[in-house]
Amino acid sequence: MDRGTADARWAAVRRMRQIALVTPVLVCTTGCASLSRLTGSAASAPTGDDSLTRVVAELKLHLRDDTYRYDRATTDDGRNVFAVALWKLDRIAALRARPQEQWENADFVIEFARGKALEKLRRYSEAEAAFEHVAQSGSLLGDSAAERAHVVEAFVEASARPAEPFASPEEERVFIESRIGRWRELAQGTESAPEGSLALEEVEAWQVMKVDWYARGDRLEEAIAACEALLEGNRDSKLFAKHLLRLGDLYAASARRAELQSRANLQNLDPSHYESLVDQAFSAYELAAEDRRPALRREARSRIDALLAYQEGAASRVP
Amino acid sequence: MSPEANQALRLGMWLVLALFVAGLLFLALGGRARAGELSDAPDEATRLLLAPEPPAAPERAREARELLDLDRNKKIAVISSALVDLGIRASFGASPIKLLQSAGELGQGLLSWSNRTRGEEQALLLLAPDALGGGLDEPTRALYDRLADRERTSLVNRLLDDSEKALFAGEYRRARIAVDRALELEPGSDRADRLLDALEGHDRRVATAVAPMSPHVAAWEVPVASALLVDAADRAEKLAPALDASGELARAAARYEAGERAEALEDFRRIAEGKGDASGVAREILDDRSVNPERALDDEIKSYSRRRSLGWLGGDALADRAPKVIPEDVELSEDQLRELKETYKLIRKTVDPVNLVLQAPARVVRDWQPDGSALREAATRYLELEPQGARAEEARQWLAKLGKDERASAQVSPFRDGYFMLPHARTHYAHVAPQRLVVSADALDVQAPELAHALGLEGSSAFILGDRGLPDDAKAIDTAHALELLARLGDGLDEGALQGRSPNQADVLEALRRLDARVRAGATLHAIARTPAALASLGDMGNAVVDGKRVNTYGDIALSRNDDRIEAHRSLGGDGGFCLADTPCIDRKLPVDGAVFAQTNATGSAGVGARAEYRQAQLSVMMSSSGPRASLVLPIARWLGIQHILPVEAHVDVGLDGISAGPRLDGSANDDPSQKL
Repeated sequence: MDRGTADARWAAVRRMRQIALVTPVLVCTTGCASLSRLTGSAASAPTGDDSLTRVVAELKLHLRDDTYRYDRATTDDGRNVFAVALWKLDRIAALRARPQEQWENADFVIEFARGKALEKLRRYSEAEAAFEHVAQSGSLLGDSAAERAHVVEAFVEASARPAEPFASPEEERVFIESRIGRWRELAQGTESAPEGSLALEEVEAWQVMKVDWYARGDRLEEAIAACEALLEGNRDSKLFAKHLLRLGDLYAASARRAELQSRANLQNLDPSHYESLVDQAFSAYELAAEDRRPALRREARSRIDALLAYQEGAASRVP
Repeated sequence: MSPEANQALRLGMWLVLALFVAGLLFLALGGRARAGELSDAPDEATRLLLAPEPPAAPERAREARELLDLDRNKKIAVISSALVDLGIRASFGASPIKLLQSAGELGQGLLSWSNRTRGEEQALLLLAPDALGGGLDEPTRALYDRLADRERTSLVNRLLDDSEKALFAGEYRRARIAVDRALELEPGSDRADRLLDALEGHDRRVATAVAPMSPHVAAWEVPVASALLVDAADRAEKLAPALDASGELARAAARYEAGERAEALEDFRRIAEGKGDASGVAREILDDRSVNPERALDDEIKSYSRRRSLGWLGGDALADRAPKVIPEDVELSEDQLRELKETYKLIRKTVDPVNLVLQAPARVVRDWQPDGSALREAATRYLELEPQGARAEEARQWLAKLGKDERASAQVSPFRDGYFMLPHARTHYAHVAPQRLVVSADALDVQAPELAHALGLEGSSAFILGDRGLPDDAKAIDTAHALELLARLGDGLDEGALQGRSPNQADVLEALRRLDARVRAGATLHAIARTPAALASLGDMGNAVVDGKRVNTYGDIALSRNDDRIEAHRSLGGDGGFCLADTPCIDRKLPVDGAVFAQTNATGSAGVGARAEYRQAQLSVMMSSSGPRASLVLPIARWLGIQHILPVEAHVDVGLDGISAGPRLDGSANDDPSQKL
């Protein structure tokens, strides 16, 4: 048909016009990008030699980082700066290869720096041991090391694992509650100190454990309440969006549970209650999707999609 | 069109047609040859099975040649098929992407012409025994040598490819083994030599990297490192030697700790410009966004500005792809090419006239902004670390521009007086507990006039029914009357006297059933008059056109934009303007739905007309800038109930350019929930 051919021709002309307009934009945008991979002007090559001063200087720049509010600093290839510093210090110590009895001042400085790195990595007992080694040496750093060892000792005590396996789930809950209380005390005591952010991280970790304990025991309502308390108490945390995802999961699990029980004729389904659970799950995911980290945003969006798909089917199943 | 252009076009069409015919002939001949070959196959197999001895050397040579001929024919068939495909798509004005696909297939066919095939391998195996025994004649021996040479080359290439991949993946041992094998097969290979050089370079680097660090710690390092570790920045600064790069690094770190961050960062920059290991460390420090807030601020300002520019051009979709549109590192990988293809599609959409004329300018005028949370955090961090820094004023300006933290805004904040309370979800999802239902006064007049009168449901164009979520002054209806009212509405929908306006008939019936169930379970039905919706102002209409929405304005006229078509529409008998978004809505059903409309589109054509619909058959008459036009749509497949098998409808168009008739795809067939399996 004439008209059809003409339409096709005009459509093709329009497309060619679009290509003509779009191509310069694409060329420009890609041209703006750096061609480092192709030209080979890559990032600086890894340094083969790290002196003690350089390692300590790099470590020092991060010792006051607020690791509760912000992610731990990483190197340009994504490795944790504290882990890298510890690795370098261990290498220096291994190369010196002096038995502890023959340590010199340099060895005590290395050990002290190791203690600092271990502390930031939340390996408190190893950090305490490192500080103790230095404190007992009578070196220049002895007093500072003794002071650090004292601070870390409280952290070691608060992070000690239970002496034996829990006899019952309730015993585990009591243990978790006691840990939350203890870490809260430490957080209050170290509020303005650099280790304050570590204590807050620990409180948060145990609060997550509490939520998880309720969830494991199928006590979803209590898990939701605990998760909301977790969010209330950690508004400034870097993990806030992750907690929102956790809360969304709990609401979604509750909704699924309600529907399952209804299908098995265990309970009558209250559509309003069911829908409020779904609504809250979506709301929590939506808030998490506002996080600035792309990975978390994607995670939240994928959960919204998954719940939408589930809800599409549920709408036909719910009587 | 000029005569020259017309002639050129005709010539082009003839060429395409000639190619098409040539391709078809080629395929037909190729097919006949192949059919002939196949027809002999069973006899040949029988003969071979019954043969008392294995085939002689000449027969094996013949078989090898046949295998090679067969492979060559297959390759020719692939190329000719791609050529014909390209011709067909070019002649029918297919999209450039499709044309590129066809051209790519053709290119692949041509490029793979010299590739080794399975047939070659089989031919080589057939010829090998006689070649080793020296029983081949001269031409067959030459063929065998050529095949053997191709096999060796192919094997060497595969080994070297494997070696390159292994080298790239950091599997150096595997890479070395593959290169060694390749060199055994082809001792003088330049490519293998280059790979060997690369492997040796790596070995040298490893040797340097794992070379033991000097166990020696300079005398000055111990007090400097100690001072740094015990927060004695002043002492560290004094003790660090000025002429040593590591000492300078320590001094800069001490200044940073002492709060002189801007000066310290300046020192780091100076050290980074030098040479040696300390400069590398300084560069790493400057790249560290947590230490150098200026770097983070710069990155985020750049990212924000880039997203804003792309967002103005193409909205959220394009802005979200900013990192992919302008990647930091261009890597010509398959993934990135796919990304570029996706990006191309998105950018192509932005060239749409509606976007260029309406949406993009509107975004600029409305000062559309992308998500600024990352920039907000970078600016806040900068001010925390360097409140008096050189960029502090700029950071403050950005913070003021970005406004308050979204988390603290009243709309989305989950906190009320310090307590955590999630707001309602904004995601649209399928509801299982409809709390409200809108019913028009016309529907009540048709289906339950006495009941409506008795219940006092009068004096408004519509009423909202529900068991919760209504204002306090909503009228409670006793259970018996409520059940009767709901039953009559259901009957009306079933009998076709009423219609569900939104979302669709099935959903409205389902909502009615759920409400009925709730009333039977003890809930009380309430009713309240629907407040007339505010009529859209000129500004609202402008926004609706820009945003692709629909608004109702004076005279029951609805204005809407759908893609590139803008339409002013007036239904005869009402179009449900009283309905609420996402709420089931019931109205009277007219035997014939009619409407008058005026529409225009991005290409500049405009027209006015009227349309009528009866049992989904549609008749429309329109006077447009290209003349009068009438069309009739008969959804025959839908009437026969087979639209899910054959989703087509009959179209008859009458216009100045003649009459056309034929089937077209029924786009709404798949949307019919009743047909979903």
